[in-house]
Amino acid sequence: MKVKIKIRRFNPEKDRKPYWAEYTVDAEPADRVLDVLVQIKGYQDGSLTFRRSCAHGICGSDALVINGRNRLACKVLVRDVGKDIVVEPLRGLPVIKDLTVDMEPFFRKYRSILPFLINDEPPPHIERLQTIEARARFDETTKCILCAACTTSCPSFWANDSYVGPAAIVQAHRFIFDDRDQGAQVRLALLAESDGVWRCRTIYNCVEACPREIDITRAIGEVKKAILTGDVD
Amino acid sequence: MRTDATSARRVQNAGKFEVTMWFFMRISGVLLLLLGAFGLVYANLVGGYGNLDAGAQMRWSFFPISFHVQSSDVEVAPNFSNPFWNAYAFLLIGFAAAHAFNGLRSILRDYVRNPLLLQWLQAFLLVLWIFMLVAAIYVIFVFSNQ
Repeated sequence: MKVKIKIRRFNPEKDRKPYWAEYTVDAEPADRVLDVLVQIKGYQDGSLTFRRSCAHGICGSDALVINGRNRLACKVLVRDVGKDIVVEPLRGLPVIKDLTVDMEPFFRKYRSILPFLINDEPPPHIERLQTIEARARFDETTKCILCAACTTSCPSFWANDSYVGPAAIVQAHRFIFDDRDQGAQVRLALLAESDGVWRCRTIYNCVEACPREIDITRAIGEVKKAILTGDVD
Repeated sequence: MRTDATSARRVQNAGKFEVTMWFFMRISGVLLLLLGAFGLVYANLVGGYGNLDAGAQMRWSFFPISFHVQSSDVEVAPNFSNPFWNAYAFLLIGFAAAHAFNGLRSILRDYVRNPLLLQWLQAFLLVLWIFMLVAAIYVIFVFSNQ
């Protein structure tokens, strides 16, 4: 079938403003939107720029705004979005070229919540053991692939990019509620700042955008409650 | 990881205020509904039922001062004009104003990027809030008791 695809393009060396480019591509209904983009790059216009790596929904490179919603181009099929497809770069991050955005502001937020195990006790002989229940406590937030679909769908982040953003809070949640970690109070203090969790207005865009189906607003709510009570069990 | 004493303390102070306000918004939101609902039910039980029109019922639930029912066909004293309802009205307005002005403060902090302008606007909000409380005290305790 013929698919008409409109792509928001911008080359900072040539263009003064972003513009829409239209392509017509032969595609199967079971093709992924990423396949359509690869086909355009391979056969129609080699200058089209986008990120992709694993192409199987794990690396988180190809989050794009597809028909107005943040999704992974490698997870959404042509039959899910129809014959008319509109693709834009993620909102709220600076565009480098075409569909490629600068992820550095996003990863700066990620690093700010100390996304690593903090535990000063010497590690035991083999590994730090944990009960099944304790592991299940933060299982949901271990699924994050840092694709930035949630943070760039968040109106609070669009309005004010000093907000730490849902992805960073999800990552903080993953360590705060891990009983092997001892840095919870430090992270909670960081997130209790006015640029932390309080800018979340429970709009739920992040939940809709997450390709891993993480219940992000719930995780943010749990962090808010932990800040209030100081209790991370 | 850098957490020297001064920066850690500053973080905690800023966080303390925001967490307090977040919790206050939850509590005051629920309290506002309860206060409004109780006022409405009580007013109907003590003789308002059948005598207060819809407008008077609404005015009374959200700001229970006696001259909000005077327009209707009902005896004002003693059930509607006494120190209990004066205090009640002040609590309701106090919670509503604090809740609303903190909401406006949050919106300003979301959208105003210039720190100096933000400070001025927040100071303006504070003045407005205090003015509103003073006006409420005047209307509830002086004007409506005349």
